[in-house]
Amino acid sequence: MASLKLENISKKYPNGFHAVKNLNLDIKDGEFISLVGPSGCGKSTTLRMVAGLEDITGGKLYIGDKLANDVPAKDRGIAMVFQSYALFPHMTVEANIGFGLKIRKVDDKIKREKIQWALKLLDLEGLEKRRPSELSGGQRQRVALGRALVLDPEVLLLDEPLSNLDAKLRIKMRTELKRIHKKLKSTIIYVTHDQAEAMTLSDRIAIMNKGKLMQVASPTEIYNCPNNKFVAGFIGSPPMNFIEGSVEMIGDDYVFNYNGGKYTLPKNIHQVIKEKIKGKDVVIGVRPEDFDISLQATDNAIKGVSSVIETLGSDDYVAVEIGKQLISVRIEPGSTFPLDQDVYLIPKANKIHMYDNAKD
Amino acid sequence: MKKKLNKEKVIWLIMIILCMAAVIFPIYIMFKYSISDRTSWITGGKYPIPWWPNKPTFEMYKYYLADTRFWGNAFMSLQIALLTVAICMVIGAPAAYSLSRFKFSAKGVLIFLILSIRLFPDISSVIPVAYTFNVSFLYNLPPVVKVALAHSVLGLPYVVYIAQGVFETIPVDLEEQATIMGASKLYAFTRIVLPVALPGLAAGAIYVFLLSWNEFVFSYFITATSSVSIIPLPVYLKSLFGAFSPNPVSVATLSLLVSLPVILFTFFVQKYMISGATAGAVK
Amino acid sequence: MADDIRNNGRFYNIYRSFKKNLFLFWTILPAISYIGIFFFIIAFFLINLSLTQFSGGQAVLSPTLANYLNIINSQEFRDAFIRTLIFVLVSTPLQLITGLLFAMLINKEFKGRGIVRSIFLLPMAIPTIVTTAILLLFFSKGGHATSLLLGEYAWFPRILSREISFINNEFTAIGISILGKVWRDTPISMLILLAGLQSINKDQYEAARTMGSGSVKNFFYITLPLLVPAISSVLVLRSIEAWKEFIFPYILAPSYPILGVLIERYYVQLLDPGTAAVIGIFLIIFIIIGSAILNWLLEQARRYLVKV
Repeated sequence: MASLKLENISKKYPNGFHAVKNLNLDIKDGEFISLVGPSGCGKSTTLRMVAGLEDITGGKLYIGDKLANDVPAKDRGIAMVFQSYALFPHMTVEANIGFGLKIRKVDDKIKREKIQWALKLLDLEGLEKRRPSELSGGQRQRVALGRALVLDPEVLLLDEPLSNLDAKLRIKMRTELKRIHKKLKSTIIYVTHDQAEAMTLSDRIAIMNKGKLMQVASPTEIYNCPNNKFVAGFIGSPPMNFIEGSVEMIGDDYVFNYNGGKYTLPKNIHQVIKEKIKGKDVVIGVRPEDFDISLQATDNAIKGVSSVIETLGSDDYVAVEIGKQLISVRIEPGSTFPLDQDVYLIPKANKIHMYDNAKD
Repeated sequence: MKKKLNKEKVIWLIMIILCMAAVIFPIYIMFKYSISDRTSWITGGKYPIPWWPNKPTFEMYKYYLADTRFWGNAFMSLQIALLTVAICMVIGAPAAYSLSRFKFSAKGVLIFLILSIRLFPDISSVIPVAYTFNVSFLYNLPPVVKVALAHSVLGLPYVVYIAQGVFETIPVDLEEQATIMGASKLYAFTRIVLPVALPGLAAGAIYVFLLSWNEFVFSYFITATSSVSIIPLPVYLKSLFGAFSPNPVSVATLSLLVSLPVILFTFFVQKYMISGATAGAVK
Repeated sequence: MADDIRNNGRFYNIYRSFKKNLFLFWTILPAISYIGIFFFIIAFFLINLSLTQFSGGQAVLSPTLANYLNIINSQEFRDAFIRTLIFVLVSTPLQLITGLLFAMLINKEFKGRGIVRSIFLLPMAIPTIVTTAILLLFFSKGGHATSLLLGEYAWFPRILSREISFINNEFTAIGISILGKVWRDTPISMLILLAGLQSINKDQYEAARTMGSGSVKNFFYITLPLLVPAISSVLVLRSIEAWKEFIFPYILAPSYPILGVLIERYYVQLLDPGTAAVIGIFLIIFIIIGSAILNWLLEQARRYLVKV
């Protein structure tokens, strides 16, 4: 097992495309870290640079405390599971799992033991002689994982390993992965575009967008204190509501002007405004569960019109129109809520996020 | 609705039977001549030539199958074809692999160069090629090798083209996975890529085999000048009907004997031929 | 240590890219050099011979453009060019049609498909020289064709009043050559078109059917446009082969040479490799011009299809 340090890592392709920009990331020994972001954000490129499949065009990569920029992939002590699993179709399960050991000329007896260990760990016993084409999606996925694990990697790299599975199996494998990580305590870098996967699995999440690292933090922290609008909008389902408007100082208070009304912001956000907000145009972000919604007119509230109800089973959400903006508010499940009525929303004071609404 | 569907099916069936007849008819004519009695030919225009074999006999087959010269020629053709396949695959497959995998600027030029040799008319290029083989230090090579080398010039572009298509269908992930696990490029190519590509590459090999077995022009010009009496089968066949009054039974019998191995071969490998074309053809 | 790496960076990168590309180099080199050497030999010979005048098999003058001038003014060459052009213009579209027919017939699941496919592939497997031999037998004096057309079979009307020699009549000789060429090469067109057909998503036909389109409309509005790439490659590849054709007209139309046959005549029978080389060079030029025109036409057709 090893720690990992990415120092100002950049990837610029010959055609000028800047896939990853000055990425800094410290990964602790035994940590499960997820790289998340929309497609094309540079997360897979980062993973491939760590794996040694792509040249690092700028910055330094340390595996353990060794500079690894120019170390060939096979000597980095890493193992990787591809999105496509990349199982060798002409080899049996056994041969697939043993492939790396065979190349490393591991003693035959140890090789056998290792393969058995992996088969047992991943519940693949009895399938040794099958070919990948004779396996189900979940089994293939486990073979790919086993093939990586038998090499005792310092760092295990997983590139969207669950994305080819159906929804039910994906959730099962999620638990499985967590169990394996708990048992083996390996350092894992996990790339996914699915924020829910990242939230449930990781010790820490690194969110990327357009080649830049947006925030690195634990799932709870990232959920509760997103650094910027992108992170706030990316994490959480249904996503955080954003209301555009402007902020101005009236007397002692900051007042938020939105399309259709004014809302006096609570005191505890003053510090944030002073520190982070530069311009007048802002957006405030509130998660659907962080509103108090009422039909009675209230002094200081955001006013809107209820329009439709969405039912998810465990929760119900009501869509509220505020001018031309549509936001979603969680309500008691199963309750009937009058539609096409004026509603008054009061965000929970310590759950309001505010960001500059600069066009980026 | 149902009636219309049936009508379509009937048309389809009729068409397929007509097309099969068009393909088989010439082969049947060849077969008919080959087992006809010689005398049937000598009637020469007086009576209609019968559609059915006249006094069927295997006389000519017996003659050729007992002839050591025929067997010698057949063996030479086989040697040439196998050697051509070997040369084309050994040289062509690795090149096709690299052309399909690596992105470099001169790639298009290289592919064009490899394919452009097919622009030369065979009859124009055979002269320089035959001359080179017969005048330079290559003179002492056995004729089999000379012809195979010449056939490889024709076959190599096909192999590179088809194999490149085949390799492109194999995901790069497989090799990257092997690389991460410690395999060298060569190891990944020979142990991972090649075995997976084999069915597709078989198509390339089959085409080259057919090409070499059937090729006439190069075989003729290269072996005609050598003093050896063993010649490839197509050249042997041409020497028969090049005479002033060819014996049709003899020509037909030899034609059938030359074709029979490839006809049977086609029945066994047609699946590969189709899949190979699918991988390489349309792009 | 960090500085070391920065200083060595450039050198290291060159070394790395060299090492990385070594595999590339060694895999491509043999094929390129093999083709390249032959390419060079053939091109060198052709140009060299074309600039040399021969008389009775002996080189008499070099360098000279005499061969070029002679050929341009030669009626024989012009006739051969016209014949070649006709050969190309007739055999290429014919191969497309037969190939398309074959491909569509077997692009279907049915019992015995493998056997039908094998039969359809047979012409390609049978040596060209054998095909010419069969045609020669069939169309020779006293062969089936004459018997048939003279009405000697009860079931077929008498069309000819007296026997003709197919080989010694320009129209029929070239016709038979085209017939042989089309018969032999149809499987190649079929394979290319079949690959194209198989890449067409079946859902599109179903979708069209729900909108009330029948088989014929489906063919013209879905199959044909989607098959344009495959059709283009058939036309381009097959027309190049047709320009280069030698063996069929050589055996079946020896008295009416097309360009390929003319090369052989000058080289072998008239012992004039200089003129043979010039014809070869002209033929290559025709191929390039012909392909360029064809590509232009296909581009226009593609645009037209997109517009509609």
